[in-house]
Amino acid sequence: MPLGFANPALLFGALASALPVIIHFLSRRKVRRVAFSDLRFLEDVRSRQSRSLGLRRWLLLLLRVLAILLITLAVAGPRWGGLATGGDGVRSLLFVVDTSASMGTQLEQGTRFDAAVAACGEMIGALPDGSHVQVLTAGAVTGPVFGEWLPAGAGTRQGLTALRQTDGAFDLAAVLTAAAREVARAPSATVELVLLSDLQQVGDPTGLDRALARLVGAGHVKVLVRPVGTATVGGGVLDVRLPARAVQQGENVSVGATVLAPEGEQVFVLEVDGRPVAETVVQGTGQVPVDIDFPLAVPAAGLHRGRVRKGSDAFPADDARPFALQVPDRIRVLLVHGADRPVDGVAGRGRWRFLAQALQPGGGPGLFRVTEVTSDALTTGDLAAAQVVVCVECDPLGRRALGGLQSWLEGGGAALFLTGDPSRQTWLAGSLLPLLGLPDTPVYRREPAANAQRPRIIDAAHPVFAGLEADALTTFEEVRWQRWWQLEEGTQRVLLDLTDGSPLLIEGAVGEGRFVLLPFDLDPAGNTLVTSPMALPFFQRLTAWLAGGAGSTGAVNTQVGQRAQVAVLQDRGDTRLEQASRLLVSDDRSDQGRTADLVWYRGRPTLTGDILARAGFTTFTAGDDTVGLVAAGLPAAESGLALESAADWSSRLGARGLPVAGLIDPTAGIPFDEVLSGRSLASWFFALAALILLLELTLGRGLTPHSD
Amino acid sequence: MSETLLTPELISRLGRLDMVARLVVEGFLTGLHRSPYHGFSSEFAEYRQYISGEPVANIDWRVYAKCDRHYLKVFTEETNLRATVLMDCSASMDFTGDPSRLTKKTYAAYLASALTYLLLRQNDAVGLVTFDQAPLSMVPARSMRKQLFQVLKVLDDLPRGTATDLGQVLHRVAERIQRRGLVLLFSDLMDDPDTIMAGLKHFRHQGHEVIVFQVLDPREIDLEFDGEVEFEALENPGQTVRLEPAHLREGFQERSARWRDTLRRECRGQLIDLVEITTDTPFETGLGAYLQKRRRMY
Repeated sequence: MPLGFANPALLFGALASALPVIIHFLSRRKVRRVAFSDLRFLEDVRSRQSRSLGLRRWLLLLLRVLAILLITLAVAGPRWGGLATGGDGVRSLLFVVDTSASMGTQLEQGTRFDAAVAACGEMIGALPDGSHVQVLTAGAVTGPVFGEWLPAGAGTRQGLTALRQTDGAFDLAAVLTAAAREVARAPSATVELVLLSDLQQVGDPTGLDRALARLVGAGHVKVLVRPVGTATVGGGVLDVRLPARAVQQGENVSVGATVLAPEGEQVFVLEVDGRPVAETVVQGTGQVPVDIDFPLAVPAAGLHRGRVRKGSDAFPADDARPFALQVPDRIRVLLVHGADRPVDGVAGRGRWRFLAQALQPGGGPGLFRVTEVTSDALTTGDLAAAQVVVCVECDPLGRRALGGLQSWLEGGGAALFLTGDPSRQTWLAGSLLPLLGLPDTPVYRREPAANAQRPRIIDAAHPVFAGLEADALTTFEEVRWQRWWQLEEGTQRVLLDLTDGSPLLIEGAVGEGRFVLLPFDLDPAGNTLVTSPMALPFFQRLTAWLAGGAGSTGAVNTQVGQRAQVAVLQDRGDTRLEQASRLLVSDDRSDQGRTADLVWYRGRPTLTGDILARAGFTTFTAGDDTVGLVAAGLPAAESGLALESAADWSSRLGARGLPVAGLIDPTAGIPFDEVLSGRSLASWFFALAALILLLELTLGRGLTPHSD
Repeated sequence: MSETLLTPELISRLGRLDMVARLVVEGFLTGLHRSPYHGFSSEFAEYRQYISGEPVANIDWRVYAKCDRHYLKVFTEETNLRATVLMDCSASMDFTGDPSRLTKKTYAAYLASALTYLLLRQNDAVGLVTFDQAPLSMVPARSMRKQLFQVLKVLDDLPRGTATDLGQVLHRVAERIQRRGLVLLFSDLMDDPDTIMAGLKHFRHQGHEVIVFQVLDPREIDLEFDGEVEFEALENPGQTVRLEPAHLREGFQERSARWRDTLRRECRGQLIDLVEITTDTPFETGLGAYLQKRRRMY
């Protein structure tokens, strides 16, 4: 309702407007009778003026009624616009302060975040007595600042000093969900939700509709939008791409980055451990992101801090993007195999010894450190210490072992399954394929030599094959297969198949981990891979890729807003982590460390810290050892510079049943209490009433006071 | 007695008309610097010394030639003026706009009484005719002292008349007054000016000097009534007009002024003295008008 009243009860005074009407009719009955000498002149004059007199009398009556009405309305405190309180008259205001990364954009004085906090303080200061306030932060952490709704006042404003800007994203769905919780706890039925934000484009995040429905269902909510800041032109680093496989010291690799260089010529620099190692010049491309690559000679084994940066601009948060690079000393490979049978020969069942030699030739130093264990002796401790599990013709695993393997995989493990034993169809169809999410309809194929199948590389750009010479690929494709399990690929990805279409290398994911399934064994009678010069590079690349992907341990590249969490390797019998009195997590912006927790997360020992609020590095230490490194980059959405208007937000929320009730325009100079309570019209009403009374006096001149 | 003390309201409380007449006249005469009883006759009375500022017409220049001093010749009064008072007794004369004020008829009666007393003291003959739409009563003109009581007796008990037909009445009265003299008409003149003037012309045609005392109540001029009023015609009971005087006041006053202007202009054209007088006006105004007229006549 645009027109409201500060004191609606006083509107009953409008009944007073009936007084002139009553007086009018009462006075009409009081007619004096006077005997007069001569009526000629009276009749003369009356016939000329009686009609205009009647009209004037009714007009005067109307003016008097109008004047009283207007005065009554004016006394009742008319206000145009504003937001009506609920029936209880109590105001509850939920301030949502955008603490996302984009709010770090510099303004003439301070940042957008500073401006938002100041505006929030001013609004709280302008609230009428009896108002209640809650503040929600919306950034890396979305949640209430106060434990409960507090009366508006100096204490509440003081509480705003605890707000901190983050490098997280503005998650609209999370904001609305948190707002729904607070609205449900609000002291009044109606809640005004004041959004203080730069209104950066956030799109329609997952769960937005559900969150909106929750908020609308929680109570009567009116949304006010207070935009902070205007769009700026800058640029930044949106993403960094590291090699998807484990890398070795001295290896030349490429580090990719997605950058935004809106205008001019901008230099992007790759730094590793604080030293610039490469740079690339990008010409302005407007708001279109571009991919660039930096050459990198892999540094020594260990955890390395790197970043891709550019010159600083008004939005510094995306001017540098950190990354953690782990150069493993050796990749821990756990080779699980079935018990040898006499028929398997010295190479072992499924030729596991051949594979062990391929990964660690001669048992000497190399990229891989292979540990063997029979499938019936596999424990979760073995899994925890492994970066990659290579499972060659495993015997059927027990329920506990299978569950441990599944949990380890889902928690980010990486496994290579090699199975070509036709006698293991039950295990394959009943346990392994369902675990990997593949169709459980294996068919064992046995072809004569004349009908042996050749492999086809489906994705030569895959890290397993990327960088190989053409001759090497040709050599690989000359391998012949005569026996294999023919599987259905399902929804997983096939990197290699045979000429008849049978998948030969299936890559897939289980939870956060990934696997590769090779449905054949390494018996030369079944295929010629073991005799091919490509066997060693093939298996080494495959294992390195598995080790350097999601299953990497010790280093995690993530984004702000996630919990600092990194899986660590724990050797069998290594009690270093458990025995450490304190596990500390610290970021590069604060000297004060905080205690981290060591938990088992899906079969992997995992260190967890707080939710990352700022971009940068978080280090986990146990004693004097650095055991984990997490690099948090800016959420992709926060790097965009485009801002939306309040109208865009209004239409977005309005289309979903939550209309924006008002816009607080800082340039309009309208006080917040006016936005909230509306603009007072009392003076206008009084002025209009005075004008009408003046008109009444003018028209009524010559008429007796009680004639109407 | 000063003019302010001789208000109509105060006089009206005295009740008896003869006392009123005497009081009014004596009080009025006391306020004059010279006696109105001297100078109107031809019989010599005495000499007295001229006082600067007096008219030089009565200076005896022969005495001046003998003794080089200015003396005035003073004559004793001796007149044969016949004055006829015409008293309008129509219903409209019973109007008063304020209960504390005299009705027009009463006011006119007081004034006529005073003039009668004054005239008879000068040995003039005074007669009286009352009328409404026709003559009601008539007292022939006499100069005897008992004439005062006869006239006052009629004035003290004036009948309540009905409607007015002033023009017609004036004609009929003019026919009955044969000897030339002074006609004093007391009326509100609430009639058509043309018919009134026709009647008055009749008097003038017969050689009468005419003084018309138009007696009006102040409310008949200003229409100062509050609220909504239903006016009822005194001369025509049942005829009413319901209106708000406040709103019509301006128009009424304009119309009334035009009517009185017409009467004034017509009377001036016929050398008739029209004395417009309201019932809140001291009686001396009326007496003064008469004396001026008397002086012009002689």
